[in-house]
Amino acid sequence: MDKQRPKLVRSGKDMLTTKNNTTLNINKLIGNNPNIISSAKSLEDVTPINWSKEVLSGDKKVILDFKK
Amino acid sequence: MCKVGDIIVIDNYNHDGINLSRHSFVVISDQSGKIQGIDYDLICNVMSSFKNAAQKAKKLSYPYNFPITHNDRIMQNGNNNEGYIKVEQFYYFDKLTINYKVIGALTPEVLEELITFINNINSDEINIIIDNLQF
Repeated sequence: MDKQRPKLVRSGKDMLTTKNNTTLNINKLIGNNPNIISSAKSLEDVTPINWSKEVLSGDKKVILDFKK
Repeated sequence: MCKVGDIIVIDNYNHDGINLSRHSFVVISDQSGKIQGIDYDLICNVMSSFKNAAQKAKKLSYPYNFPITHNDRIMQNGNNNEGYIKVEQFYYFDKLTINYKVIGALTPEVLEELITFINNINSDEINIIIDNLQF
C-alpha cells in the first residue's frame, strides 16, 4: 500500500501538489461564496457501492488504477 | 487515519434525525480548517455505482462525473463494481464525529487525473455539503 501512496507536497491550506506539479487549491476553487446543499439532496441520486466482505473487513484493499 | 487519495467508507451517520446509509468517498484534503465558521479536517468526493445501463449512460454524460469503468480504469478487489466520483460536490467532515474506515486508495496516476479533472470544474458548478459538521 505504501508503494502506491501518492507523493504530495503541502503548499498551503487545503492546497496540494502532486509529483507532476499538478496543484489543487480547494479554497480557491470553491471561492468565497460557495453553494451549500444538504447531504440528503446530494445523496439522493447516489447508489452506494457494494464492496465485498473482504474489503469491508480490511482483508483486501481496493486500488483504483488505469487498465494496463 | 486517512490521507489524500484514500478511498474510505463512512458508516451510517445522522443528519437532522435522518439516518444516511453507508457511502464511499475519495479523500481530497485531510487538512483542518474552518468553513462558514465551523471546524473541519476532512474534505471528500462521494463515489457512486450505477443502477443500470441506462443510468450509467446518463451519469457518464455529465461532465463532472469522473468515471470508474471497465473501459479505462480498474478497481482491484472492487467486486466488479463500476461507478463514478462526483467531483463537483465537496463533503466536509470532522473526523472525530464520523465512523470511517480506509478500504483502499487511488494510484498516483489516477489521483493526478482526478485533480486535473477537479481543476477543470467551473466554480459556479461547485456545491459544498457541511451539514455533517457540528454547528
